[in-house]
Amino acid sequence: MHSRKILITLIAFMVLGALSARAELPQDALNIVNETRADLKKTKQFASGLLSKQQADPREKKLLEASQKLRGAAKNSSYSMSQKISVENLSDALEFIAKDSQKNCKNLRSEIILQFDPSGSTEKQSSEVRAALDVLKDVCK
Amino acid sequence: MKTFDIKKIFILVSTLYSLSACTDRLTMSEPGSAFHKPKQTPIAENIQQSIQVIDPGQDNIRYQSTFSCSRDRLYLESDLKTVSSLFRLPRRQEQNNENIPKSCVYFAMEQFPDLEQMYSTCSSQSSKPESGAKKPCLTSNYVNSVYNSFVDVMSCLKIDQKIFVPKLLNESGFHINALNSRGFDAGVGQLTRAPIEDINSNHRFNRLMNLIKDSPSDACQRIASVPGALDRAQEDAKNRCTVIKPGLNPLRNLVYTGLLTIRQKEIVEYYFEKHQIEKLMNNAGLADFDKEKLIESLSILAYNAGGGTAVNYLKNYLEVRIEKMSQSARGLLSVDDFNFNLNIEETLAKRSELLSHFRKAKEEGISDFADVALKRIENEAQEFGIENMSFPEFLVHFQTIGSRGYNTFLADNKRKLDETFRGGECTPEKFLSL
Repeated sequence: MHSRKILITLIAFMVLGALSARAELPQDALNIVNETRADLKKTKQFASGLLSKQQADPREKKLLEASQKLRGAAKNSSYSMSQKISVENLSDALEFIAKDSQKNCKNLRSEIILQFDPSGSTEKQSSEVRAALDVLKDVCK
Repeated sequence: MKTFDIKKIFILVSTLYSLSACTDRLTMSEPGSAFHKPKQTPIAENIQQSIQVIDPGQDNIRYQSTFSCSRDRLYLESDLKTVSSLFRLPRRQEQNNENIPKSCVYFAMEQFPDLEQMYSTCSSQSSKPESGAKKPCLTSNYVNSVYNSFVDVMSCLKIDQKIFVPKLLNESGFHINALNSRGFDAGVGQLTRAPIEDINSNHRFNRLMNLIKDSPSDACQRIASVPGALDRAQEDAKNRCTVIKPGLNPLRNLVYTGLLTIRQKEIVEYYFEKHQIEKLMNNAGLADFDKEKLIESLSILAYNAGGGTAVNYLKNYLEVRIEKMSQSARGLLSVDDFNFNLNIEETLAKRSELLSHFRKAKEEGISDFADVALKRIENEAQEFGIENMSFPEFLVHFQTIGSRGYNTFLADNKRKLDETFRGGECTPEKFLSL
C-alpha cells in the first residue's frame, strides 16, 4: 500500500516535470516548430497542386508545342506574306487556348474569332483560323 | 333665374375645360417639362433633370415626317414609341457640350445606300431578322433615339465619338435595322455572334456592365435607368433581333458596340506588348511617335480584322522594314508611314486594281480562283517591295482578313465628312495618323 503511494507520487512528479519542461521551452523554439508545421502544410498543398497541374498538363503542353512549331515554321518556311500572318495568328490562338484552357469552351471560341477573324467576311476564309477552331473543338471534347 | 342658369352652366363648362386642358398637358408632357410630375425617386429626378427636352420644331434638324415618307418607310415608328423618352425626345444642345452635332448622325443616315437588302424587319425582340425592307424614314423619334443613345453610350464609356462617325458611316450609316444578311451583322454597330458571346461570357459580363452601372456620370445613369438595357443580349443569329428591334434598341446595340470597342483595345494592347511593337518601331528607325494614336489606329482596324490580326499585320510590316532597311526607297520608318490620310486616292485605286485579280481569275474559270488571285497580288507586291510601302499600302496588299484596306476607306470617309462639315465637327482632328 505504501509503495503504491510512493509510485503514484513519483509518476505525478514525472508528469509535472515533463509538463514544466515543455512550458520552459523558449518562445523562439516554439515559433520555429509552428512555422515548420505551416511550411510543411504549404509544401503539401503545393505538391498536390503540382500533381493536379501535371495531370492537366498534357493538353496545355501539346497546345504550346504546336504553337511554337507554327511560329518556327512561319519564320523559316517560304510562306507568302498573308499565309505567314495567318500561320502566326494560329500560333497566337493556340497559345491563348493553352493559357486559358480551363475557361469555358464557348467563351474561348468566341474570343478566338474576336481576336483573329471578327468580320468573318474575308475574301478567302482564313483556313488557319478555322484550323485553330478545330483544335479548340478537339480540346473541348 | 334664367341668367343664373346660364352663369352656372358657364362656370361648369369653364371648370371642365380647364380640367381637361390640364389633363391633356399632363399626359402629353414629357420629362423635363414643367407639367411632368410622375412619382419619382430622387435618382430618377436627377437623371431627368440632367437633360432638357425641346420641341422637334426647335431643333436645327429638318426631320422627315409621316407626310414626306411613304407608308412602307414608316414601319419602325410604332416600336420607336416604346423607346424610353429619355432617349427618344430631342434634347437641348448645350454650348459647351462635348457631343458631336446631331447633324453628323443625320448626314450618315441620309448618305447610307437606299437598298432594300441592307435593311431588315423584326417580328419580336428575339426573332430572326428578315432582310428586304425600305430605308427607314428619318423622323424625329428615329434620329433622336439613335443620336441620344450614341452620345450617351460613348460619353459614358469615355470613347471618342468622332472616331465612330467615319466608321459607322461605312458600317451601318447609324441605321438600327441595318443587316448584312451574309454574316447577320446587325444594327448600328453591325454586331455578330462572336462579340456578343465574348461580352456575355461569365467572367467578363459583370466587369464590363459595371463600367456603366458604377459610374456616377449623368450619361451612364441615364443608360442604367432604362430597365433591361444592360441585360444580356441573345447570341444566336436566329435571335439577332435582340440587338435590332426598337424598344431596348438602339441603346442595347450601342452598349454592346461601346463595350466591343473597349474589348478590341484591350486585345490590341495585349498583343502590342507581347510582340514588342514599340521596340520594333524603334529598330525600324522611329523612336519618337504617339503610341496611343498607333494603338487607336490598330484598334480601329481590329474592329474589322481582330485585335490579334491587326497587331500581326503591323509586326510583319515592321520586320520587313527592319530586315530590308538599307534597300528601302523610303529610308528609315517615319510617321508618314502610318498616315492613312496620305495618298488616299492612289491607295484606293491600287486596291481596286488588286481586287480585279479576283474577277479576272474567276472569269478565267479557275476553280481555286481565290488562291490564284491572292498569289498574283502577292507577286505584284513582292516586285514592288514591301520595304517600299507605307503601312496603309501594305494593308491594301496583304489584308486578307476583314475588308482589304479598311482603314484607308475610313480615312476617305473622314475626308468626305470634312468636305461637308468644314469645321471638322464630325471627325477627330487627328485620325488614323500618328
